[in-house]
Amino acid sequence: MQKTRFSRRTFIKQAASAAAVFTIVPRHVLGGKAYAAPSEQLTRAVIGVGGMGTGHLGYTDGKLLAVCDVDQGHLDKALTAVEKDVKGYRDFREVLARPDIDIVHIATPPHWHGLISIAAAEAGKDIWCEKPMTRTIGEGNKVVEAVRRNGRIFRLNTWFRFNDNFYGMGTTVAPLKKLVDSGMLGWPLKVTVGETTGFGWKFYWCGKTNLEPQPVPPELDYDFWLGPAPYKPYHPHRVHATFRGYWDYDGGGLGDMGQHYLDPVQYLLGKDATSPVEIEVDAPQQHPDAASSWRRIRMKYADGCEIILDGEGKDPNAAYLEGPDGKLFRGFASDIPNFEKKLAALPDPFPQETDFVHAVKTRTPFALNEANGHRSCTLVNLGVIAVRLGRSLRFDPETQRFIDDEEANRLIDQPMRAPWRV
Amino acid sequence: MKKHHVLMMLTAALLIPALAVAQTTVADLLSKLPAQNAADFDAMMADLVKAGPPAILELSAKMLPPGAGDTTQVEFALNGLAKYVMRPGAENERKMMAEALLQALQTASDKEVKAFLIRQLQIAGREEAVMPLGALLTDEALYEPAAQALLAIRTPEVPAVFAAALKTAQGKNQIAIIKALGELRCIAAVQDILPLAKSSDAAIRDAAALALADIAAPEAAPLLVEAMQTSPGYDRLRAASNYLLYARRRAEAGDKAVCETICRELLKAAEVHIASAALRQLVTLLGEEGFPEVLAAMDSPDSELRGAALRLASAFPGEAATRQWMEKAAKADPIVRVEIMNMLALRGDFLAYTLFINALASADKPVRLAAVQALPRFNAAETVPSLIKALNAAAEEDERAAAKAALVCCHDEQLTTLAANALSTAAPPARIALLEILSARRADTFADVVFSWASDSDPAVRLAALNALGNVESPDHLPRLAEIVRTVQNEEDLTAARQAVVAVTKQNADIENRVDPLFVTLAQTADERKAAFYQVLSELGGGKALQCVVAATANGAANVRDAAIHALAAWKEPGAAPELLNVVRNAPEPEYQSLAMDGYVRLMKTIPAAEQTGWAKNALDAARRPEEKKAVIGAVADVHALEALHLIAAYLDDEALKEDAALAAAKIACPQKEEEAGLIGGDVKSILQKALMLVHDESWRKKIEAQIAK
Repeated sequence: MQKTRFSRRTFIKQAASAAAVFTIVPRHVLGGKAYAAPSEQLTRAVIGVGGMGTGHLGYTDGKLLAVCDVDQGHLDKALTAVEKDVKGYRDFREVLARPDIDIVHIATPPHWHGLISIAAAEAGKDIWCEKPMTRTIGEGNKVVEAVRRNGRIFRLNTWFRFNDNFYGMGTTVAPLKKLVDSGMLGWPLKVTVGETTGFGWKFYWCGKTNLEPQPVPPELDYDFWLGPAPYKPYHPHRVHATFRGYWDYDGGGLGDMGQHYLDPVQYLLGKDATSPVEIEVDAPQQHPDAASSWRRIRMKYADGCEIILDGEGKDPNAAYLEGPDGKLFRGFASDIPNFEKKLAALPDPFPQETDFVHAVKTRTPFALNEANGHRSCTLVNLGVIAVRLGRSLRFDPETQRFIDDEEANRLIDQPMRAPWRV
Repeated sequence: MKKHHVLMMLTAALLIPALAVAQTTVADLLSKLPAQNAADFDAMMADLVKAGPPAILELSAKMLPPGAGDTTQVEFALNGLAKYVMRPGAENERKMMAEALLQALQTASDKEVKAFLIRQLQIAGREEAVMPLGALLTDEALYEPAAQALLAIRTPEVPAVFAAALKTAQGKNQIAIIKALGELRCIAAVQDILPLAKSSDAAIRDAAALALADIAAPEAAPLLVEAMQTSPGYDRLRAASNYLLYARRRAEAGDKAVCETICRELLKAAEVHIASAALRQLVTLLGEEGFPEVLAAMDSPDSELRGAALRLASAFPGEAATRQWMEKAAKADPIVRVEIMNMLALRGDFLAYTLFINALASADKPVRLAAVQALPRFNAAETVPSLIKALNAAAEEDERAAAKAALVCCHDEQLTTLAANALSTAAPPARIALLEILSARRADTFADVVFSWASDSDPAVRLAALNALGNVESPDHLPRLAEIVRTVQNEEDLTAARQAVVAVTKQNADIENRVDPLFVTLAQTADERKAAFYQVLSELGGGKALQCVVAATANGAANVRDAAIHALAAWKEPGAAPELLNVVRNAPEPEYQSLAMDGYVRLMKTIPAAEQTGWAKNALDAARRPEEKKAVIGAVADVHALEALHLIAAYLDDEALKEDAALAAAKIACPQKEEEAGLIGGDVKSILQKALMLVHDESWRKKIEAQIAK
């Protein structure tokens, strides 16, 4: 007998938005005809071994076979930190050409993320990509298509929707999700993400103007480093540790931290399959090349939910989550009496697939995959576009285009430098 | 006077004032940029618009190549205007801006400057920019920004411009043009691109092949097939990708038969991702009729292809499809059955519920696990009882863990009742899981039930019940919890009972009086068992609790005194500080002096930084041994205030403490982050100079020297 307490729409919605965790016994244990035991050891490569990429060297999702970087110095340093049988490459395509590599980690600057993700999918690789997922919304859509078309498993290198203490909240996201789903706060909700709620925006990722061209260091293939980005004369501040300050490659602090902070918000609000419809911004005029700070970005969904990106931190008492019936503050404190006990009485959220190796072996979409990752990256990119243009925008989540706004739409699909295209 | 002289004079009469206005506006604007808010930005740009083309030309003339001078303000101005004129309803302004940029583009001499102007046209240009930009497609330095701008503008005339340029292009710009023609799907360029697909230059060949695939000209098909069949390694992968792209484009053009043929051919590819892509394309093409292809793919021995097929299941909703999936699962090997069950769980069609209920009794563990994990998604009356049954029947821990994890996700208000009712008949491992569920749900209506298991003979069950009590008991039942602490024998049980007492007591917001029930039990407790109560009081805090523990630190029984001092050292409230210093001052035992000082220092770090120096001074005065003083000096190193530095400076001459004091002085005075200044002025320099002679760590020495030099 089917109970009607929760509507089928509710549990179907939940079913569609979450990937289940399912264990598996290796085939060779169960036996069964025509099933050759697959190799249990996955293999991987890391593309981009400068900054974040060095962390990827130690990940345990597979045996490391190759590393790749356009900077020989980075490459040499990485090769000293890994097993002797790991091979080094300057060109990621040579990595993708290896049939013995199952997974590629993409830890290049963001202007390469979309291109290499698509190329990797078309080469039959599963993908572990750094955030932000893509530099533009258009690239993100192409990544989703390529991953799905080729039946690949994709994950992003952010994890707060399913793991770890969530910055200033002092808890994982699971209790937050439970609180939101309980309805105790009411609906719609407003989420404030800023210093006062425990999330710093790293405004030190600013670009510099008036950069005097410098000779390219011999170890760096600058043309390849630029790849699809427009050619601009070399200066060390444009590359490696400080590329985040330039619109051509990233989106400042918003590009760096946005997906860490906003992906869990998207999950909490149940917005994995949609995007905001209004974006407002309060920011100083932005330079065409060098990113700088902003004061406030407000994104509103069709159902009234809002995300406030607070760059100023003026209100020390701001709630992280605010609804018509209650608030939740930093440190998981609430104005709802006895809320922790009420919450405990409610069911836990459905588990997510959070083991990447398991996801690859069972071909189960990872908890943070190409689809929901694209949507949370779109939050970042909507913010970046609004900041760069300095004005409000209206967005259609279905077509993923701005409404009656050619200027903003030109920033969705930004042409790439030849020969690169998505 | 001749007519043309009159005309020239009239033009000059008009232009010169306009130029003057432009120059004034530009100079004024440049001094104010960048605008700090939208209102100022709009106002400044509106002024610039009014100043018209002369202002834009003036600005453009000020642009310099990178390294030749700072043109940041000019960049803000031109880029700002390009963005401003693109707002809806401002077409005349946009056109004016674009035409002025084109004029500036003609007069600018430097390529980098031109590239900058082209990038502004990429923002604000439309049809007027197409031909001028097209003319730059053969310029070695400017073809790339021109191509990007044209692709962004993308009016109907743009493909023809690229096609025309291809006819005369050479070298690298050829690739940019071919790439663009592919993106624009320019059929008119096919004949010019075809021969390039056989170029000896691999980059040109690759660009051409991709472009031809994207344009989907039928005459390109043999070439794409040949590339797939003859290319090695990565080239073959790209060729396959191109061929599939061609198939997609043919379908979009209405040529479904070609697409289907290609897809069926590629379904047989050795590379499973190519086969997966072909399957997806085929199913998309066939629409509703594609479902049999999806089901057939489930017979593949390759899990990746089956995974790709399962991801297509959502394209075929409805009960008829669900029935076919259920039939497929029933006949499949366990591994495939599990894969289908996982998909059906996410699908959420209630029709499949019986499949999962029946699967709980499967002989194959993965099938049982898949059923357990799926059932919470079906909010049926039998779900919880079935899962409890599965929990009890589970022979191994992973199945029990799966059943428990599933139960806590169930949306069933009867869950705690059913779990409590099942306790008495459950096997011990299942009983533990049920107690954990009651605990997780804070099922206080079943506190008595849980309590009854807290004395069970099975140690694991007993421990689970004790662990659960903290979440299910109320302060009214503190006496019976305290009694457990008083009497329990096992160390693990004691820890659990103690934690339960703390958790339950904390439900009472009256910090002072909530500990009263514990004093009653404490009074009846043997000395050797009092330690647990002191630990509890230390966790709970409050004046009464503190008094009780402090009194015990003077107790004649050594074990009571030891327990009390340990509890005092672990106190969480700053109010314990004076008592801790008393121990530091008066306890004969060095270990108690040290313990108390550690507790004091820990509390010191919890108070505002501004008060910490005063605390540190009190502690340094109280400490009798260098060991305790060093602990304080180490802690005050985190206080970046002059007062703290002065306090530490007094110890730079103390033989036993000077090196610790020197390092602390460095940590106090030197900045923590690059953007901070650290302490400067007064006697800071002299203190640091003294410290420098005592610090050996090279990195700290450099920091001290840098700070001295400020």
